[in-house]
Formats: sequence, C-alpha cells, structure tokens
Amino acid sequence: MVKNVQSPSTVENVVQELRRGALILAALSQLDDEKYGYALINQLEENGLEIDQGTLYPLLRRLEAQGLLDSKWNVEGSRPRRYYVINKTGKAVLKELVMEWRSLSKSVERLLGDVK
Amino acid sequence: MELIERYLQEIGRHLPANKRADILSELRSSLNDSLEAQANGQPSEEAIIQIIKEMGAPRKVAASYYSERQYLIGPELFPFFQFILGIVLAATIGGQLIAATISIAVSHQADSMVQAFLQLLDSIPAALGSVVLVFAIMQWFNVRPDFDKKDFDPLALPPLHKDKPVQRAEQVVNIVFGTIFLAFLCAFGASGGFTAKYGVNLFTDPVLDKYFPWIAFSVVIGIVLDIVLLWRGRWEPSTRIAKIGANIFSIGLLSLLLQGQMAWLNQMGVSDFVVEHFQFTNTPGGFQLIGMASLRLAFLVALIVITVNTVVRIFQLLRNSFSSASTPDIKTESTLQ
Repeated sequence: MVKNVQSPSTVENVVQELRRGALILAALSQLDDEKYGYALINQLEENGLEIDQGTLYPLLRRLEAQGLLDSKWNVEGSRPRRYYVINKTGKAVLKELVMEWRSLSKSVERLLGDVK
Repeated sequence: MELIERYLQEIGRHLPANKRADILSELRSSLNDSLEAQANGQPSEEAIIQIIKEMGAPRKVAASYYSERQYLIGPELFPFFQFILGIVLAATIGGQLIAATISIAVSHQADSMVQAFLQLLDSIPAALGSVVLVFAIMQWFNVRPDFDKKDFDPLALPPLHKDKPVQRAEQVVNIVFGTIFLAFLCAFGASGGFTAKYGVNLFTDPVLDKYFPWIAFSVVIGIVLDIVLLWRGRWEPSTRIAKIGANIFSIGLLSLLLQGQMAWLNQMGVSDFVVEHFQFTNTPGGFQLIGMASLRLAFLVALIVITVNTVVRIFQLLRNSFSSASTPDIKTESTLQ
C-alpha cells in the first residue's frame, strides 16, 4: 500500500511552481497603463488572482531586468511610487505568451477531464 | 511606524547594496499603501504586524530579489564544475601518491608516508577551495561554457555503457586497506624488520627489504587505480587493461619475493615447503625462520589469488570485447532505468 507522503511544503512548492508562469502572464496583461505595485495587486485580486507583495515586487523587477517592462518613480501624490508599464518587447512577448497559454489551457483541460 | 523601518532595515541587510535603497523605497511605499487601505491612516500595532507578516520574513523577501546570483555555483555551471573538480582532485591525489611513493622509495622512512597524508589533508581542501572560487567568480560574472553553442548532434552521443558498474563500497574498502598496508610497509621499511612493541626486532626480512620500493610502488598503483575506478564509476576497457597490467606487475614481484624467501630458507636448511613452524621456536634465530617461512606461504597464497584474479579479468576483457563487436545486448536496457 502506497502511503501519502506529500508534506505541506511539497504541495506549496508545486503550487508555487504552477503559479509562477501564470503570474507573469497576468502581470504583463494588466500593465498596458502605468501602475504601481499596490494598485496592480488590487487589480489582480479584483479578478480573483491573489498575489502577495513579497512575490509581486521581485517579479516586476525581474520582468524589467528582462526588458519586458519599463519603470519610473513618480513623486506626485501622497508618497513616491514606482510605476511600471509594458514596453514594445513586452507586448510582443505577451502576445506569444497568450497564444501559448490558450493552447496549453485547452490541452490541459482536456487531459484533466477525467481527473477527480 | 518604527516597526516598519525595523523590518525594512532587516530586509536591507540581505539585499544587494546597489539596489538596496531603491527596493526599500518601493517596499516602504507599498507597505504604507496597505496600511492606509486597511486602517485609514491610523494603523494599530496589530495591523502593522499583520501586514508585515503577510509580506514575509525579511530574509525570504530579500532572497526573492535574487535570481541566478543567489547560487554560489548555479545549475548551468554545476555539471562542468563536477567534471573539473573530478579531474583536479584525481590529479592532486594521484600526484601526491606518486610523490609519496618516490619519497618512500628514496628515503625508506615511515615519516614520508605520514607527511604525504598530512599534505593530502592540506591539498584536498585547497584544491576544492580553488575550484569553487574559480566557478563562483564565473557564476558572479555570468560566464558560461559554450558547450551548447554548437549544434547538438544526437548521433554523436556516446554509446550505451556496457561496462560493469563498480561496487563503490568495495573500492573504498580497497583504498582504505591498501593505505593501511602501505603504512605498515613503510613502518617495516623504516625499522628494517618486524618489530615487537618495545622496538625489539622480532626478525628482519632481507628479501622484503631488497624489493621494498617496488612493493610500495605496486600498492600505490593499486590505490591510484581504485581511486580512478571510484571516480569513473564503472569498469572500462582502459581500467581493465590497467588493472591487468598492475596485476602482472604484482605477479612478477611476488614471484621474485617467493623465490628470494625460498633461496634464503634453503640456505638455512629449510627446504620443505610445509614446515611445522613451532619447531624453530627454540632454535637460534627461530623467530626469523618462522617469519620467513610464514611470509613464503603468504607470498605463495597471494601469488595464486592474484594469478586467478588476473585470468578472470583477462577473460572479462575478452568477453566484453567480443560482445561489443556483436549486436546490442538486451541487458543494456537496464542502464536506462
């Protein structure tokens, strides 16, 4: 008899791995207009996608380092905030990602049809 | 609000210096946005604690800002690192063993063996440290080997292993016992004979003494071969041939030793091969006669064992050569599991 040996941290790691790519896609899709991190978190949450600050900010930095986002500090308003926006390269990559996601999503849904 | 600054300060300790101020400003701004949204600008300490907890432990938050650089040696470089480390360690250990053999052969001093071990204890961590340092620098400056830049040709892949895997435990035991035997030989070489506890010579063996450097050389070659086998992980034609060569050398040496022991014993009037050792106990030089006769028997047994072992190895080498020339063996599928 096979014992169920998955620890909570194993499950958490696998879930994080699964979410990683989806979060990139989600963040890029919402940055057509300039947004600061906290506003983006709220927007994602309003659409049912929870992401904590400790995950989003490093993700935005990585996407910027990869040349997909531009950012700048804006000191107008109640406090200085860093605003991010998708650039031309980012848009091209997003287009590819969306196509890949849709195709992947269909295939995985088909595959998961019988999984209870 | 002091708690937020303490939290940011702790995160900052683990961030890269060139990005620290920028990242902390952004996190400060975000934390304040959260507090404002949850507590309308008058946050309680509980609310601050809750928001900080949601963001996560300082070290974890800081770690998420590192990508490749958090590795001392990243996954891309690691296989190359292992490959180079294997070569460097083999060269270091092999070189030191050869140097120790030459030193023992020249000086006949047991101290040389102890010094060789002390040098190994020094040089292995130094070699390991140097390789790690070079690769850590490569990792830091994002230097990558260009192995993958060439077009990958599946037909250029090496053939399936048909060689027998090495029993690692057996190799480790061989290395340990070989080393202990070498130390024992050196002690023998230094004292000129088998000695009792208080430095009283039980007997001396002029034959062993004469061939001492060659015996030490043979044992060192055996140890080096065992280290190579442990590193390679499987028997290959080259290691089989080397092992057969080393065995043939040992057979020659054992034959000389046996012949020498027999000649010495014949001179002393002990020509029978099977003797009752205890009959010499009360004769002058009895210990030496017992020792020489015992070693004669030991050399004969060792000669038989190594000869049989060599024949088996030659047979295995020939069988492998023939099987590799024929059609693929179904058994090789097991190597894929």
